[in-house]
Amino acid sequence: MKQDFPLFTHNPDLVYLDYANTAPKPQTVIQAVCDYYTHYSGNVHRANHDIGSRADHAYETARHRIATYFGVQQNEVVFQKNTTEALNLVAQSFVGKLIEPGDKILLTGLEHHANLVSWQLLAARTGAELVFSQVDEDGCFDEQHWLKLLISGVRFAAFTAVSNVTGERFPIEQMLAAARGLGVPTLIDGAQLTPHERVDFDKLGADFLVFSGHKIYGPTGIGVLIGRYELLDQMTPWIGGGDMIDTVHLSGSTFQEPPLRFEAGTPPIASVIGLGAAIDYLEQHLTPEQHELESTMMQGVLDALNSIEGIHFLGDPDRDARLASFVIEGVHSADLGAYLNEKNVAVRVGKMCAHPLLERCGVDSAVRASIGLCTDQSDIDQLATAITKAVQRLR
Amino acid sequence: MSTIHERANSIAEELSFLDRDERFEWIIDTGKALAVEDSFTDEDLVKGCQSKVWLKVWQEADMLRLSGTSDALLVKGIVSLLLEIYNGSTTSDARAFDFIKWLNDNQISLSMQRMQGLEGMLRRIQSKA
Repeated sequence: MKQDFPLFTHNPDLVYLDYANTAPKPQTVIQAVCDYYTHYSGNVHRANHDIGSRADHAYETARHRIATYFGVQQNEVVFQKNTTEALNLVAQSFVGKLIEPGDKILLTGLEHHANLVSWQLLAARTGAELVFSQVDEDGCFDEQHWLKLLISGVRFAAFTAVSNVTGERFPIEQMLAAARGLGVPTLIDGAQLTPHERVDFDKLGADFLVFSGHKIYGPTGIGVLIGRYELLDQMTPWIGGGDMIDTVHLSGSTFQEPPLRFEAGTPPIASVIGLGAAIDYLEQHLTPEQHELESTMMQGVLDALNSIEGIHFLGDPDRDARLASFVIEGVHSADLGAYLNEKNVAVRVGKMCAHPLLERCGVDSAVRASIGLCTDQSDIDQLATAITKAVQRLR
Repeated sequence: MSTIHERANSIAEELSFLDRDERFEWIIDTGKALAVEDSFTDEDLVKGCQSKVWLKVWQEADMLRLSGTSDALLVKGIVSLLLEIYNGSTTSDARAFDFIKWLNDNQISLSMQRMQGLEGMLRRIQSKA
């Protein structure tokens, strides 16, 4: 697989274990971006010439590919800058409209800041109350507590599908069924799910799904909101400007239908086209065989880490996770990350945009190793060697 | 008493015999070797560092005095270099000395995050010089 990714051609010694942060890009994605700038770099939705039409066609074709991949209609795919922006759009334009002071929004204690701060901003504006399911002693999601809060009456529920810190995959199917049964609208933060699992949006039964292009092997600067059309259609725009309007008068304006209503201004056209290519790549490679291979690689990562004396995991990762965060007694995470970097092993170090969860786990910072499509046995072997040396040297 | 440049040059000479990997190992050893005799409070913490850094800077008879440490070994190595270079220098020398350029000249590369932390340490030194 690595031969498809120029990053590895240009960095043959790189052991990349930071997929959960951002994924490398296959040549097809790079080529799609390059082709747009080289051959037809017109603007979309507003040009009356062939170059613009070609750009338009490529942009909407990418939307079509994404819609097909997730089993939704094209007008249910909204382009945003990233997961964070997509979350904020739903918070402000959908939940913001239905919330009354004192209404509860249900989150979990394991959320990435994107799925926390966006709701804090909304709560501050509307007087909504945020309620959080607790994290158990092992750093795991407490489903029973979440259900208890859900039943107690909430106006909206937003949760990640996979924790970016512990790698735990939440029982989202059961959670969504429970929420649906109570008529509670839902949003899934799919940033860590979509790189490893193909999602059928309708089958899943959520109202909104958000994810980032750059984590699914696409370009940066592009994220996606998938939403049920009737809900998108109820939403007022959050950002105003060109392309999202229907009529404009000095006295007021009317707006386009979704999704264009939420895509004000010139969008990141090249990134959208690149994301279309990334979806093609995923469709081809995210197979059951790949899933099993990633599980084998993850087991290798866990075996390598478990051989280190004094290692403590955040949460309870297993071979079905795709990342593991940990601390090692007597070794500072920053030192470990720097030492691994010297040995060409790229991991994430820090609080991983989840300060409350790290606080709950009682650590200042941790190291995270995450795997993806290109992870192979040589990566695992080099991680094992480098981390053993690092611990010997740094203790 | 040596000047700030003499002390910096003396370390640079020691480093000149080491390759890139050895310099990295040397920073670790320097961190391990830093003897911390002072005690520190939260007021001594330098903001912006990924690891915890405590740094005290004061003047004594027109000379700069420093003590400090970190909970991370590599950062402790950098703190140790700061102490060795700046301790006992005149305030005007300390103001004029470009530590980041010195690191670059001696091929000690830091990640961006550690650079930000270092800038906080240097601001504290400059504010007392």
